[in-house]
Amino acid sequence: LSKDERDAYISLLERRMQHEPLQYIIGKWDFHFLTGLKIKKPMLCPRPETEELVELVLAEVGNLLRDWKEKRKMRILDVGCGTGAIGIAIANKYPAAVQVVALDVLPEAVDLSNENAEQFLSRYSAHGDSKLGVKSIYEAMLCSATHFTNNTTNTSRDLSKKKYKMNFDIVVSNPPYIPLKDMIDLSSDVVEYESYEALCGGEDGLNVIRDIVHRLPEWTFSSSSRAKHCWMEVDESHPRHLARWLSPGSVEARRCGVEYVESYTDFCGRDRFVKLRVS
Amino acid sequence: GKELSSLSAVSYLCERAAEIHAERVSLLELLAETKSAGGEEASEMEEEIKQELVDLDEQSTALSHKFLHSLVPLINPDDLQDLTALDAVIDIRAGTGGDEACLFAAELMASYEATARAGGGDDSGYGAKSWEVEVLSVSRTDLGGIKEASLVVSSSKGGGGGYNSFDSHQQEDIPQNDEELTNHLLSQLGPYGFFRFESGVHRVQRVPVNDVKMQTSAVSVAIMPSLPDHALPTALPPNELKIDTMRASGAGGQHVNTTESAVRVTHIPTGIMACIQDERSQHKNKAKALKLVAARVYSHRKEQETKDRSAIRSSLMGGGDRSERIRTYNFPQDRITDHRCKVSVSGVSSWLSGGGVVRNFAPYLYMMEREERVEKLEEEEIVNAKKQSRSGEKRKGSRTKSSH
Repeated sequence: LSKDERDAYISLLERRMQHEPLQYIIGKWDFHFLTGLKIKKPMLCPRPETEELVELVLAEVGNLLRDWKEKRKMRILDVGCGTGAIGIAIANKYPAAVQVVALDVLPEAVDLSNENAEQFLSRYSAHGDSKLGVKSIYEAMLCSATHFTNNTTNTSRDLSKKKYKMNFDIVVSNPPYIPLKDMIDLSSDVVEYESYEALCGGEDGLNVIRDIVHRLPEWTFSSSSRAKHCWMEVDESHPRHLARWLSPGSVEARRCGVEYVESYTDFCGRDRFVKLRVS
Repeated sequence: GKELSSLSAVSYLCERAAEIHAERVSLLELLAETKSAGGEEASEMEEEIKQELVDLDEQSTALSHKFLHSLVPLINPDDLQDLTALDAVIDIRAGTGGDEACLFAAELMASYEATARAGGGDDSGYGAKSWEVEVLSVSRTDLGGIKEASLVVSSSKGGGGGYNSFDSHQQEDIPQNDEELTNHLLSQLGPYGFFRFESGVHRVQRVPVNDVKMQTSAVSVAIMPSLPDHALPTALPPNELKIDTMRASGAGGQHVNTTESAVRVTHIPTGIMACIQDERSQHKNKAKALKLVAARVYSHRKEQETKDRSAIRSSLMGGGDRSERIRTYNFPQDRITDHRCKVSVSGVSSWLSGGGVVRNFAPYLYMMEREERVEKLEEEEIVNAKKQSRSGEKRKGSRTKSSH
């Protein structure tokens, strides 16, 4: 190794010795079939479990496409997009059939998601929709779950006052879900580098999840009788809470307009994913 | 349509055979007459007739070969689908010989990769198909050798020459010579059909790098058909699989950031497993592991079936014995010998680096395998004939000609 190479290598090692996540040091990692997804502090480094969330949603997209009668593309909302991993992985599989809108409260996350989308999806937008480019397939914008309504406009200079149709077919999210009491147990490579907002979901970890549930009926409003599902990655403790809270036919489920359908385990056998239905 | 054209080819041959037979009969009659007539003119005539009979015999022989080809094709019809359409998983494992074996294993792997990337075509690119190679896993040694490796060779359209070319060839003339035969065969084969006879133990004899004494090492190769992705859930039902991943013992999910992505897939009924950790995406590692396990399980099941069915364990038809020594690469004598078809070629290094080994030996082995099938058919004929003569029934129809 030349001296420059050696110095560079040593400084990288020193960062690692400070427990900086490997993905931040290298600047990219692989997720699902996205090779070289850009990753930057403080956005959450995509975990392997989340690849399974992508697979669950892809299965539903595949099913819906078999009977798809709408003239428009299938619309998917990714809440809390971070690096953009989830939404981009989905769009990467069905670029001609889906359009993803992604939200995050961190400007850096919005920029990173759009950057990654450009990297992986621009090859599909070469033909048709040339004015919109990648945005016809994937668009990330700065907005919280609570504030995303049919009056929301994207204030970035790229799109002027454009409003978003609230007719999403699928909502997916890997929201911050760690309960407050668990935050203290996190190892240093997580808690010192990754964004607190991307991890902590409040006292019981359900804060952002509740925000999402309350917005679901409005986001998926349409005249179609087709069932609209919301898929989320959650903390181990959450599936049973959600099953109780949104139990089909219960007062709360009717009030929220959302029902709990079922949960799925991850490859470690932990309750990790929930499926909700807008009733 | 396909059956009609193949039947019409055979019926044409039958007509020719009948014609030759009729001509032979009339010539023999003429010969008898001429002999009895006597005289100088007669003996000239006799010579002419005898010459014509010799020509007729040659035609008859040529016809036999054509019969053989159209009735017993080089590719066993039972295996046609597999051999033309399926992709190949190649397992290479260094055997006896320590570092030397590992080095040779790496050379064999490079050779197969080169062949696959060249689409199974020859040096000039003739017969090349569009194939892709992907390394599923590899375990390297410090000296640049490999302990073991698994590759998958896939055809982008999911097939080799495919059914189509087979169909069209049936309507054309039957290949006239060995070269046409070879090219026709190779054009039909998909990755699995092309590589299948590489299964077995490859022996190498040479003087290792830091030594003076010659050493014999061995590398074993296994070629398995790779099932297409959509067939995986049926071939490997999820309840028959155990999937292990390296993951923190803590709460997992957002709680932990780890870059460990190793996946081990075990097929519970057979115990066959694969562990892949080459990729950073756990999902990709799982996909590769499933592909590998599916190929190994399929191959294992087929071997069991064949063992149960026939006693001919090391026949080519039966898929060969995996521990059978099939080929020796002798560097000092600069010769590669295939022990099954007993064919040798010289120029070990160039054959290996050029990657033409597979393409060279495959046709001989297919021909050998066809011989086995013909023998089996003949045996069956004899058994049937005995049965029928015992029951007193007269045999109808013309007998097909068999090879010499």
